[in-house]
Amino acid sequence: MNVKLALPKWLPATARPAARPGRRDRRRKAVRSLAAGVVATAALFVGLGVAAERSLYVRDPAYADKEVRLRRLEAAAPPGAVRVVALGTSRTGYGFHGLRVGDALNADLGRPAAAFNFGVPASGPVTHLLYLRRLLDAGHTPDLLFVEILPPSLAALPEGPREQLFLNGERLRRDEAETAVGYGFDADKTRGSWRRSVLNPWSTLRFALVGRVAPSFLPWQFRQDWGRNVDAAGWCTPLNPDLSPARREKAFAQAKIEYEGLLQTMTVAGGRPDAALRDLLTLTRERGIPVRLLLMPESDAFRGMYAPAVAARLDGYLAGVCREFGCGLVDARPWLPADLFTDGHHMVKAGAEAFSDRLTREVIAPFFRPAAAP
Amino acid sequence: MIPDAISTAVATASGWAYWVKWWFAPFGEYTSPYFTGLHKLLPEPFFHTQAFLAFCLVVLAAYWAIPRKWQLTRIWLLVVASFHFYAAWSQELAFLVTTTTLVDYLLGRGLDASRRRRVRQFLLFASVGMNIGILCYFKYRGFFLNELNASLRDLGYDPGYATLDIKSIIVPFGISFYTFEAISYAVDVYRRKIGAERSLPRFLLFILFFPHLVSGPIVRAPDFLRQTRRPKRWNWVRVQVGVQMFLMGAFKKLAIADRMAVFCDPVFKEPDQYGTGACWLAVVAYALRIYCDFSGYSDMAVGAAHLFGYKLTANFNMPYLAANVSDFWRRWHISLSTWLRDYLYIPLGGSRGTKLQADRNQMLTMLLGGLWHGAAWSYLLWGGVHGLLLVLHKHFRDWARERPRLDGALRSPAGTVLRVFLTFAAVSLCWVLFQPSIGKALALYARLFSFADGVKFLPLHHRSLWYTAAFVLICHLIVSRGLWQRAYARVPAPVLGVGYAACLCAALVLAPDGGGSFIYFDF
Repeated sequence: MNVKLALPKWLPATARPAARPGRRDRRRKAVRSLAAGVVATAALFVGLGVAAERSLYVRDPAYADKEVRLRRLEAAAPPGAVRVVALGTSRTGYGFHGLRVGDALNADLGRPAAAFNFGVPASGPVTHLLYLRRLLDAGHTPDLLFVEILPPSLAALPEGPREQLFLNGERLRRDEAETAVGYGFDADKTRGSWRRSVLNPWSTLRFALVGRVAPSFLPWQFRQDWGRNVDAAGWCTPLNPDLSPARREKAFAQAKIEYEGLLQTMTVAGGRPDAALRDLLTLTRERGIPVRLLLMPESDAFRGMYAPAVAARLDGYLAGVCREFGCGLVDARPWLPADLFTDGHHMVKAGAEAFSDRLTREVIAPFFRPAAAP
Repeated sequence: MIPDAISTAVATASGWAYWVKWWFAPFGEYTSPYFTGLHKLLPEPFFHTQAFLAFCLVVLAAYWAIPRKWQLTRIWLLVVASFHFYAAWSQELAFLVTTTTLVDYLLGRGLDASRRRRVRQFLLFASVGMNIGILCYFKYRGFFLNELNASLRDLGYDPGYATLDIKSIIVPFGISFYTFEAISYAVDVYRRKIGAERSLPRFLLFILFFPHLVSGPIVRAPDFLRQTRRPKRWNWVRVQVGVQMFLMGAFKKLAIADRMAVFCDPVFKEPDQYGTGACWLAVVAYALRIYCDFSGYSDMAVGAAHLFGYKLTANFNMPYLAANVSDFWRRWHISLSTWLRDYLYIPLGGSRGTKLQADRNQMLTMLLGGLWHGAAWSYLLWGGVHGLLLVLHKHFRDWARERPRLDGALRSPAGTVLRVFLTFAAVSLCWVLFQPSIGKALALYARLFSFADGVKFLPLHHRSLWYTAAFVLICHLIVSRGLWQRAYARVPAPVLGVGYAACLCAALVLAPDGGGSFIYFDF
């Protein structure tokens, strides 16, 4: 059998080769195409490097996608509407149902209200401080700001804040990278990552770029399009609402691996995350933004991971910070039963609804009611 | 008696091994700060790294800065650069490669000078024996000794030696490639097909030239040595071709092969954890991965060589458009398949003799070709299955030729598409064996041909796989129909330049992670 490949006729036939250009023409074309390649490569690299430094839409999708939604929500709200923002981690991302809070506030206060969930996974006090600065610079000034406290993220560790594992230099602008280094982030790693994001942006920012164009092309651990899969008020619907007990146990075991060690030994006071939290509260005080620190709900089993000494240290620390800055503390840790979590600390939809309703009823609405005003 | 004979054989082999170890020990024990520093600059001989790019640019600048009339100086520069390229990874193994190359050079000179048949046979045996011996010492000794150990234990004998930890044995990068180059050179000189190379730097460059040193293509002495004699002029057209091929190779490696590795690696590692559907997707992904990984490397090697004015053998010709297994082997790893044909299959008798003898030669060639890829039963089996497919195809072809209607149907467009699909399916299923663990390969086959649920999910959405597969297929069709060549001649230069920049950016953007090693570096 003849092995020569006969392809379908519907494909255009092989063309008769065009007259071969002369040596000089070929040389000229080669020089021009290589020169154009060098110029185009330089332009593409410089272009993206500049774009990344100027636009967070390229550099930090986790922030920018939510900021776009917040802007839309605020623009859609009538003048005089109360504005509530919850700045936090994935716990907040799954738990704070902004639309529900807004509706409940509207009904309760008789005033329009807009509540937005600015929960971003794997964040901590340094991330929250940097994000708050960006939000304020962008003209977002909430009437009430919740700042989630994820206890492990407050741990004073010798190697610096735990959140530096996730907040790489490539997600930060130059001045932000320096700020992060000031809060104990690894200087070489953070500056190096930022530098690479400017000099070789197509490689360094590839997860952000692909996540924007074709998120399914990325393995889940590299995806940064968290903010795209949220509703208009930033709330992220849990991916798998129907969890079997076995899956729930497996997820909790994973959470245990992640947090138990820290929750047995951690100290808070005097650490770099503590400094970041204090600077955040100082900033809000300067801008006159009322703040509530928020400890998100946790299952009984999850709370069982805290060593008594750690729990006592944490409570004492938070009480001291609230006293110093005059902000309230909402300890919602015991609010929900275990079956409203996927892994002991991330809520399912019913959990988010129950938590948001109670938070509105007991904390947010009273804050805005005229009677509660001083 | 039997254990005594085996112990003697093992002792002899070990004696050889100890000799090699003793000879090269000083290089291994002495770690010079110079080479340590070099290692930090260029930790691994991979082409798709910024370190390699910097190395290549420095060598390129120095190479073309040397005046054309100093051709030998340029060759020495490339030899020194190639040595450093390898020594940056492992100084002792760089000395090993260089020393064996020197010995091959001297034996080649001796082969050429001698007229006595016995002496020439001895020199040929010495050259081939040294190269095969070193290959066996590094690559196969662990496998053979461990298998022997297990067999003796099964028979109730005490082997008298412990099993080796195969993972602890460092195999020099590219040993299978340059060994074959050295053997083909010795055989060609012995056959008086070529004269021995008199210039030492030229011969060193033939073996050590860094673009082909670690993973081919397997170059032939007549092709390459001839090129070393031509004074090289800076040629913009050639530079363009080199850059284009390098970029294309980088795209294949980073954007396709590494991306597909995300699909297939976890499944090949733990087939029991994945469902049947995921396993089939992994098989398709592996077929794309291995093609783009190796052909991407080959493209980069050919492109880098072009930048220095050398042309290496093309290694691939759209193998997944092959309409049968014979055709596949004419398109896949061409430099190896032609080497096996010229230095193994034909000397064994080729297609001469009875059908049975021809089939035997085919099977032996493919079994050894399989073993060349790796020291494990799975590679041997992979070669055996391919050999069997080749034999079956040959007989089927003869049978079909006698049936004009069937032959016509198979040659029709629909028949061709069917044959291409079946060839791709057969080759892809054979790739399952292309891994060191035969147990995992069999476990993957068991999953493929059952309806099993998995406890793990693929780490990447399957859409990425289908888009990539469609992209590769479209590119194959465009090139095979000559559309690319026609467009290339007509596209304005600036558009071509922007295309290069886009190709580079796309390769960088689509790379899933830091980028892994090349599969064929293990061989």
